[in-house]
Amino acid sequence: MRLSRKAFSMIELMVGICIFALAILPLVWMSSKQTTGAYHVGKHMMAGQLAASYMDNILNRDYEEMQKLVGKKIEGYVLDKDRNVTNLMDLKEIAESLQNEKANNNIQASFKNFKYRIELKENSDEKAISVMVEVSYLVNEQSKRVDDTKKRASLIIHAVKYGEND
Amino acid sequence: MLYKFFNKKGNITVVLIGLISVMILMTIALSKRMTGHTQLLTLGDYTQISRYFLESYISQVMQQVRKQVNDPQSPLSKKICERLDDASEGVDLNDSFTYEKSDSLEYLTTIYGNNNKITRKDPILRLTRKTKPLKYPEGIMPPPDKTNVEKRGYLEITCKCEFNKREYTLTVQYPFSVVYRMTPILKDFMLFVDNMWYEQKAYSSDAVGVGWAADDRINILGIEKGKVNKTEKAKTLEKDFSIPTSNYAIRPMVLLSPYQTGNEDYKSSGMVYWGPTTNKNGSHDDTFEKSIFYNLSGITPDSGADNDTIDLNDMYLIPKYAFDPEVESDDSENNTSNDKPEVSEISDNEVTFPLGYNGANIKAYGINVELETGHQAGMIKVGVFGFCKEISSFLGKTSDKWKIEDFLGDNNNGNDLLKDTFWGKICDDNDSDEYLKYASGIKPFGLHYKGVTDLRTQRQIFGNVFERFLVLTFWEFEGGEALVYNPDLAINEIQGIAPTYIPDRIMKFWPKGYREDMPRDKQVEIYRKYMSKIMSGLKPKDNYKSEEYSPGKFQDLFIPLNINYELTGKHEIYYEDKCKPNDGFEIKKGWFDTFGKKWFEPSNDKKIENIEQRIGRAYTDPEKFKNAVGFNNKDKKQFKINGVVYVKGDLDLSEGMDLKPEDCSGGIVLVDGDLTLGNITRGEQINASKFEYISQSSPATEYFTKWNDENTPETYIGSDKILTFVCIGNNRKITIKGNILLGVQLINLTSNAPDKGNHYDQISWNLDSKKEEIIFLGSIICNRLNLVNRLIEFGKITDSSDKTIDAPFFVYPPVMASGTPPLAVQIMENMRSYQLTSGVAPE
Repeated sequence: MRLSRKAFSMIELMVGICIFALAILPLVWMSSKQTTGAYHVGKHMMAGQLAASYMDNILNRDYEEMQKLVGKKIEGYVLDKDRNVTNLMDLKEIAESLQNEKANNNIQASFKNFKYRIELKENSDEKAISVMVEVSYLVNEQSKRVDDTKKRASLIIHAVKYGEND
Repeated sequence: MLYKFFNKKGNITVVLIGLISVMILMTIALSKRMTGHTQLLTLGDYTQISRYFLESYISQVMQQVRKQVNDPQSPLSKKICERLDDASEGVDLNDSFTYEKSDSLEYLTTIYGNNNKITRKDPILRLTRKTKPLKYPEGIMPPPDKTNVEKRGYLEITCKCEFNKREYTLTVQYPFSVVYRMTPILKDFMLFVDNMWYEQKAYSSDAVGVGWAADDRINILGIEKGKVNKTEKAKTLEKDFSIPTSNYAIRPMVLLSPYQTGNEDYKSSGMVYWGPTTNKNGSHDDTFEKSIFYNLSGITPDSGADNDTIDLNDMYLIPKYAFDPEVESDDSENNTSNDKPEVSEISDNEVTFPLGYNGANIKAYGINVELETGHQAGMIKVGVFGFCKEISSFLGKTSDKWKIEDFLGDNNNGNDLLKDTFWGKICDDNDSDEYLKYASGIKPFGLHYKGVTDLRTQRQIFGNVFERFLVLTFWEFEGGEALVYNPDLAINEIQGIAPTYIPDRIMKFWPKGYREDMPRDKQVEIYRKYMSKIMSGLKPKDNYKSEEYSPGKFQDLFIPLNINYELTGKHEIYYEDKCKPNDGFEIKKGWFDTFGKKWFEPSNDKKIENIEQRIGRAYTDPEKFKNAVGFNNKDKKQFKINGVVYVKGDLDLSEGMDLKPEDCSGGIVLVDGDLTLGNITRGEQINASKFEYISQSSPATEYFTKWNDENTPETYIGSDKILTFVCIGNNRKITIKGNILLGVQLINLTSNAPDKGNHYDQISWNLDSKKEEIIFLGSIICNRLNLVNRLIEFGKITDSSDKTIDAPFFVYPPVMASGTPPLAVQIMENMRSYQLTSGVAPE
């Protein structure tokens, strides 16, 4: 007696689904990675912009003003006020000045775990001050160990400012 | 067939292969997309890294450029400061710029890891083609070799680097200018007071003309025995001039050069201007009413101690040619000899006059003229007297034998002398003979050294400035008679007036050049030289007509104070056209009086290029200025101007500064407010009490010499170290609270025209509590000096002294009159353009 093949059998279906699932898994993984990557790219770009603005702020000061910052501890969260050392305008203040609740909330959320660190070292022989600006952010926003450096990614830029050398 | 198709065994495999292929393609696409994001991000990071590296590089290059441009020995400075003949292609500076590596920058090239090394390339410097020369106002003419030297434009710096196979280039432009560190023309003056004449003005009325006697605030120095009369102190100023002084003595302002005994280079001793030279119509003669009359300090040779070598005697300023000492005599009846009588030259030659009490003799400088040889001779004595107490005692109304009228006539005698308001005042007031003891409070020719006939400090005096002294002519024979001033008196009318030595024998007096056949007015003109008179300008009391009283018309009665050193000492009035500084700059006629406003005041006229276009930095806060130039440095005070700087607000530098040569860079500070100065010393402690005028080897001279000697670099004050402080705006004041100012020019020239009676002090010394001698090495430029207050301020410092000459030390540094004035290169703080580009790195 001949069998008539008019449909897939269950097992064939199961096998097919399994194979499809196995095949699609890397895609999903890649897609997830891509989303994460895009997220990191965004954070990285934000960190880059922040670092650049901090660096520009420092470099625009007079050499004598910068000398006062050499050796001082300049670090903190970007949303916190820093009036003791650098007098940098913090993002929280900028956000509040926008007078737009939605934009304010967005900024607060976006920069919540961003930290900055600025180091100045002077080479008095050359009358030069090396500036290092590091802006770091949480790789995984859901992580509770926000100060764990292993959970953070950072962007570092360096520059040197020269004063008038008599 | 369909059955056969469905019987084939490879269907699932094909489907699987197809599915897998699609998945692979999708994976590749996603992967590419992710890589693109990463590449973009990486590119952004690389650009940012390169940008900050290049900015650091630019900063380092700028540091070296700023250091080299104002080092006169560096090729870069020489290249930028040279004449700009053609900038159409820009000016390449690479060959002139020496780049030195920086460890900090080199470390930056490796900081991102050895695989991410940044490769630095050599910088490129140039002046862009928009570099143009700075112009001058119409009345200032630079010499050909100094046109196109001052300039402004843009300095372009290009820095390149290579990072991860890409080349990044950053090009920036900074505005720059090249300017002189000192003000043209003015830097060659030691004292420039364009409204000095106002201090001889009659303040009590609207009268046109020079003030006299009590209104004369220039001739206020009482002289006795050739020096300042200290015994009477300031009471005389209160009594005679109605100037309240609170019982202070006054001390003169003596202008020195670093060379105490003779000076061949009069162009480097600091010129003097006591203006004005023109009126609003541009005419010189009409400003005669604003002339200045300088009373020469007198001395009689037997006065003063024998061991005094220095005094304030001005009598050597009387030109010998004015009295043309060769004379002839003719006794028409008995003269058998054609020999001319022996005559003595004026100056330092003693002539005795029986002018004292009870017929006692008094000596003066002058000529003894014997009128005949071979016979008992009459003697004409022509004596010149400066203003001093000895004269006022003997010639005034207090004399028991002679009165002034006996020599100079009274108001009814002599049409010309009548109009001399100084003479008129002496005749009118009962006590006005006291004014005969007052000489000028400023001594522009320094000091007089006994026994040395060369002129002291040789200096040019610009403006209508005339020297004033007395000429007394005495006919000595059998008691003697004064020859009274009488312009109408001619020789052939002496009979009956002139004395005779024997009855019926008339002694004629024939000065050189006189001829009987010459016109009468010429005869009178020659004879008049030897008459008793006051040598001064004629100031009318009434009906003043300027054309009648021009200096050219009465040359024998006007002797300018200024000396033409190139013409064997002839005295001439000098105006702007005679101003020939060593650097070759010239000034148009009439511009002395407008220079301050034209040069220092901002103008809305875009065609005018004055000091405003030369400003390199501007500060709205004086404290920021002080921080920037190094004045507020706690460990080492500096004052580095390097160009022209504007400061808004009152500038207080009363703390003073002690500047070694490396701590100071000269330039011009424009203060839009009041200025207060403390001591400005030059790297060494000076004991001002040791300064004395004694001789060439005195401590004062030693200091003056080493400040001017390039071979002593630790104490030499070069022209590039001179600090010029300018107060701009109306009613500004410069207050000096330090007794020592070295290498400084003070300018306060933009006040409005003085009001009647307005004596505001543009420059003043406030040293009451300090009580230390003033030592000023520099130059003063202002509209009004207000001399009375200055001399009182000098007197407040020391009240009595046993010094040979008691006066502050005002010395002009010859470096200010340099033929090659120093330049400064100013690079502005603000960047004009910024261009960052990148591309694939060349292989």
